[in-house]
Amino acid sequence: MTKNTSEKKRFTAAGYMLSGLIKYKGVTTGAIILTIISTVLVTIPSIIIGLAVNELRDPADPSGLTPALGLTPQFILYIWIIIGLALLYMGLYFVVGWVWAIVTLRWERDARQDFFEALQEYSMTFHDEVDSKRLLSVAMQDITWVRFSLNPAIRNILGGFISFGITMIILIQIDFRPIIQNFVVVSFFGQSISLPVYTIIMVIGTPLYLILSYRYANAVEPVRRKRSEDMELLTARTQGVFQGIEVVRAFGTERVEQEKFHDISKTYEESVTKEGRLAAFYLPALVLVAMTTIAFFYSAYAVINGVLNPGEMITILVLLVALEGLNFHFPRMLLVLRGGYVNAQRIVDILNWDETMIEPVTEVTEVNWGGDIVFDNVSFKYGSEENNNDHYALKEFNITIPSGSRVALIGGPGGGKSTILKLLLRLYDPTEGSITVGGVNLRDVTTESVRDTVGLVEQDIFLFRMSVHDNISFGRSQATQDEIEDAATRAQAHEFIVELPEGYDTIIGERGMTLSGGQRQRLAIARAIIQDPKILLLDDSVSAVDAQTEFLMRKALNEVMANRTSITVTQRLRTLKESDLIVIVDKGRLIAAGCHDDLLRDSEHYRRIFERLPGAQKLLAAARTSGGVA
Amino acid sequence: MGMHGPRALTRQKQKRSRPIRVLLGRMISYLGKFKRIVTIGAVLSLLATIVAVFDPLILSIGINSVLTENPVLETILLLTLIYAILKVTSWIMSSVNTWIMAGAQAGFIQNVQEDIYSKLLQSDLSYHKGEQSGNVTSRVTSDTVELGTGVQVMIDFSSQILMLVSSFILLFLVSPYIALTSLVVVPGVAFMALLFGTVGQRIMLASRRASGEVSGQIAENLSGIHVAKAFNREDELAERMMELNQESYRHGFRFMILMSAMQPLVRSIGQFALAAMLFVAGSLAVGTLPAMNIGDVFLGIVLISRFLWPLLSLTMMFTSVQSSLAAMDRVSDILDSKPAIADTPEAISLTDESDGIYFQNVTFEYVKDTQVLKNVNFSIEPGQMVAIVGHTGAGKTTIASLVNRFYDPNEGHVLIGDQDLRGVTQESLHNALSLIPQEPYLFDDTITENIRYGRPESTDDEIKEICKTIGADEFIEVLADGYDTVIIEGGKNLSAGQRQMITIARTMLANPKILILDEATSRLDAYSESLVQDAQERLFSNRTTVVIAHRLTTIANASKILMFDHGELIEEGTHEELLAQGGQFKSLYETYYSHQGIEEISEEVAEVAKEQVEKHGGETPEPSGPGMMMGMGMGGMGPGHGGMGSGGMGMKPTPEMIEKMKELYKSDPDSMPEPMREMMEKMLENENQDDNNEESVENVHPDETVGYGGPSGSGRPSPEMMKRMHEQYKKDPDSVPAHMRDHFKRMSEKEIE
Repeated sequence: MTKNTSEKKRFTAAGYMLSGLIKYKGVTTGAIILTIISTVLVTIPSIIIGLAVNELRDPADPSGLTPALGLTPQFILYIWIIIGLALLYMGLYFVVGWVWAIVTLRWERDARQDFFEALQEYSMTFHDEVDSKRLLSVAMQDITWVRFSLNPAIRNILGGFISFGITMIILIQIDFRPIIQNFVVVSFFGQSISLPVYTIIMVIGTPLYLILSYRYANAVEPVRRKRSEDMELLTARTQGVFQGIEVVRAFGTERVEQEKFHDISKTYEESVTKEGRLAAFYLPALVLVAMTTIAFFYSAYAVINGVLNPGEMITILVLLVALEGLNFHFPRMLLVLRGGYVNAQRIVDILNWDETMIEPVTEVTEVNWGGDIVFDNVSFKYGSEENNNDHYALKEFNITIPSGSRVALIGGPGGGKSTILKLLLRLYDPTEGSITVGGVNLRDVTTESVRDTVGLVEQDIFLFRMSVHDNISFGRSQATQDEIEDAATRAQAHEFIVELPEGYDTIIGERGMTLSGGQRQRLAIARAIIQDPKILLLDDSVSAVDAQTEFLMRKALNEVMANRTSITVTQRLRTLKESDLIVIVDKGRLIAAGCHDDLLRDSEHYRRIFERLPGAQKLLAAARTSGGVA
Repeated sequence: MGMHGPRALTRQKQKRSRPIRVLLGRMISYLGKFKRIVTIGAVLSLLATIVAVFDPLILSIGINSVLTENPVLETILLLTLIYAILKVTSWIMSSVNTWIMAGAQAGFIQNVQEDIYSKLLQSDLSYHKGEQSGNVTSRVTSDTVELGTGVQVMIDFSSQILMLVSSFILLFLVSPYIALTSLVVVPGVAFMALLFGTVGQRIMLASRRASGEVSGQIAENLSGIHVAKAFNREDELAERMMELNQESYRHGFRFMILMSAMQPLVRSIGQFALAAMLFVAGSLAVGTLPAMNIGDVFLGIVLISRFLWPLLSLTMMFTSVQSSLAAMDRVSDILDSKPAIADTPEAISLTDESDGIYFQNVTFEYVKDTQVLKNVNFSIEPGQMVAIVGHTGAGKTTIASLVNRFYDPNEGHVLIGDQDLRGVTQESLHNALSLIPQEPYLFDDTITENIRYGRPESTDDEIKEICKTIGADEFIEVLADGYDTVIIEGGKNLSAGQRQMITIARTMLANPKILILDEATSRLDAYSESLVQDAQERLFSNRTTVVIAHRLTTIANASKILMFDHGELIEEGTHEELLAQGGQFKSLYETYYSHQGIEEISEEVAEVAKEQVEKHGGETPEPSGPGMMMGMGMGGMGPGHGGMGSGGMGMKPTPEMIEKMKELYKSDPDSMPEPMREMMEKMLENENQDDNNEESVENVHPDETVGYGGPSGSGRPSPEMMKRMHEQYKKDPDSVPAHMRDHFKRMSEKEIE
């Protein structure tokens, strides 16, 4: 958890992609060797076919025109060899597949886990900026695509290379036979040079094929990227509209939305078309055609002249025709590989995000959490350094919160209330100034110990899709059932929990949908009670609850606020009155601080807010008549 | 209901509801829009296939012509040329075909997308409410892409079949024996098809599901990241993640092993077929009068692989065809659905003169036989501001929905002016009225654009102006990019109150003739709320306004209050009238709205409590406890703006409150003011434990306890307690909770004592 981020590992896309293969070096090497062997195994039959065909000729006639009288034992042997090789290949290739599967799927699993943990590690600045939908799609799709680029892509490309290589070797070695060596001779500046035609075919054709294939894959990359982006846009827009369908209905903007969608989907159509069309006119295919054609003519010429036997000609043709089979697979796999690089880039971009929040190098462990909390000239703005945001959420904020006090935090929306809470949780570090607790700067304490000691009941309660039990023990994992029930009871939640279908084992629907707002809030309080924080932060600004819920809430709050410093964002008259300290923030600045009576007397701002609170009028009237409030 | 988020996406629809014939027909009919292109494509594909079948034949003829007594080089040259030309022709034709079909396929996808999208935009709100938006989205996105793949597969399918048939015919012409020999691959391919259709399918689904679990978990953890951080639970969540991840790996591994088995199997089958072919062809090619020559043997060898691959891809395509058909089926569900609410052909625009809202004998049910509104009649005259009040489940939001024509009533009519909504175009209706819903919803766009949504033609200045008016500009200015701040994920970077402010600005900008506010300010603090309220009064003073409210001032200022209870309009009148009536509104009012009196009492009681605690020398635990308890327990003191959340207290206030007090008394008697403590003591003597339990059960299901037992309706408080209270009431009426006060007032009237 606590990691010194200054020595953070930087990733490169290529390094990231290959990290899986590098991680299991031995296994990967084995897999590559096995891939080579198995490719050899499927290529050998082509040679055997040639040999077998020669067996069909009468050995008495060297021209090879007379058929043999019957099948020779040699021929039958060849057939058995083919079958044997097939069986061997089947077994071996299966092992190859197994090994590749282990290497690459493990990589995928670990990559996803590491990615997720990295995300969790990042401070809230990151999560504020990056859409979680994008993070999710990177975690799922992009990582899967990178894996695809390893297996099957790299694996098949490797196979393709080997096929080319073997074909090359077989063809070239024919050129070195003495009988064919001086078959085609050209005179070159008076010197006669024997032309190794097969070698020329292969040595020119193969690189040409590969280069053109690579160029094709490269051309596809931007198109593919555009297409994914268009799809993302389309998805986001569609989801947004259907999530907010009521808004669309209410403003009668269906037609506008329809037009917007039309534009987006047309753009998407264009990029799909573009990508689809790239597959047409695949030039490398023509290279292979040329190779086969030349080889065919040359072989025929050679056979006629008796320097090549018919079997060999058939072997050559079968090999070259088999290479054509690559036309189908090879470009696809190149694409996946190339695309995988783009995906890896996306992942790496996130992994290389610059963390602004740095854990202390030397951590202070002895913190008096019961001590005073001091905001010393704290300024804070959201967002990372790069985006020149000059809107301060908190500006030159100074306050001392005495230990054990009850603090109420008030102010309009955007005033900086929740920012103060977030800074105390060290979800962020102040941009300027410092926050100290008991004299220790929060920056010198690990986030882990800060969050162990500071508890939060947030405004919009988030519950995990876990059992009620687990949600409460989220506050402290090793809590016993008794402790949990006790916390729930104190939070006024026990009663409704036992009424749930499976009591404490009931799984809460996503975002706590199956519970009412009040019930969720009380679960969150139970969660805070079990955590038993030294400092409690409560965001209680939303209170659209009925009286019953309200009653229970209050009781629960009392339980949780006992015996600790608490800072509550509130609009409640009562909470204000009972607070030891009321802090008013507005536009990120401290407006006033003090107890209710003082503020009422001294602060115009507070009076203005206070007057607006329900019930305040009567209180004020009473105060006027009796010369003091309450 | 899809409340399992991304996980819901992984749930597969179990069975297709339409026969394959219908679904295929549908896909083809969509392609029909590209008839010419598809025809050209088909012809090209046919030609390319035929050419492709012929090119090995040329090679074979070439071999034969070499192996003759007097080979002629010119013949071979010619054959070479023909071969090259055929190859290039086939390459060009298939490329042109690919080129054309790529456009057709993309166009097909776009067409389907647009059809589904517009259908979904028009479809009933009940559909959207019942489906997770992610699910709805995938109808437009992933399903259509899958359909596109389906079309591609169908095209491939036909060309593969063509290839298969023509290869077979060619083989047959060369030698029937060889053709028949090639059939040895069939059992092998059939075996594989079977394997993948059964085991493969199962493994694949399991693997997909496991990966869906991972995805769901990541999604959830990301949205709860702040909680995980706040409680230092990243490690545990990572562990949970690892478990799911491992599970997904296990399933993925099985799937990949299956796939790994696939390729060698196929290749081996090919090699076996090759061996068989070689044997048969070889047997035919030897002897004194061979039935075959070497060229034919070569042709056989080449064609056997031509024969094998189409067969194989056909089996592989089976899966894609299946999922594509399933996608077509899901898409068809949407395309076939008939929205219950659609403009009739004779629908006319809402006229400018039509104003005021009229409900005539309206009955409505979301679910059959569960009436939400029962024979409701009321009229809201033009320019009136009417408040709708009632407990949760009274049908308030439903009324707002019906006025917006999100639904049509099952019986009766909803009219604006004298126009029945059924005969009005939805566009004109929605232009004329605006609803600010309970849950603010923002699009992932800038704040300016979100507000502009209300009136697309408005200028930036107008937007700033409206924000200033409602006091929203203060917080917007402070945001990272001010008005240009981009909202992400529906506003995770804003507080609930801020989101609500933006929706209010949006609606006010729209400047509708009729305004409906459904607890639109529930998430605001009191100060901001009052600013909004002021703006509303200024901007909408003479417009028809319906307010579903929780604020006293709103209710007091309303021209009329409609009090609903379980779908029935039970009371109607001005604030004063209704209060004077002393009916259900009055008791509701006192439970929820009249904070002022209650607040004051609770303060006083709190003082008493403090004194008590201090007198007993306690360490002042929970200084606010007793007062708070009294305030709330007795009077239902709301929060700053105690709305009507989940409904509870209002049902049976008195007895339950007393139960609560008893509990408190039992748990911490010292926290109570002395007089109360004494009362509780006496009360408890008279009560038995069973009652207590029973009561707590009721607390949990407040919604089920029907009826508003007013204070006089329940005899639960003990006589002693009543007496005490009454005494207190006589001394200082304000020190007693409102409804108690009310009760005592009535009691004294009836002279119970």
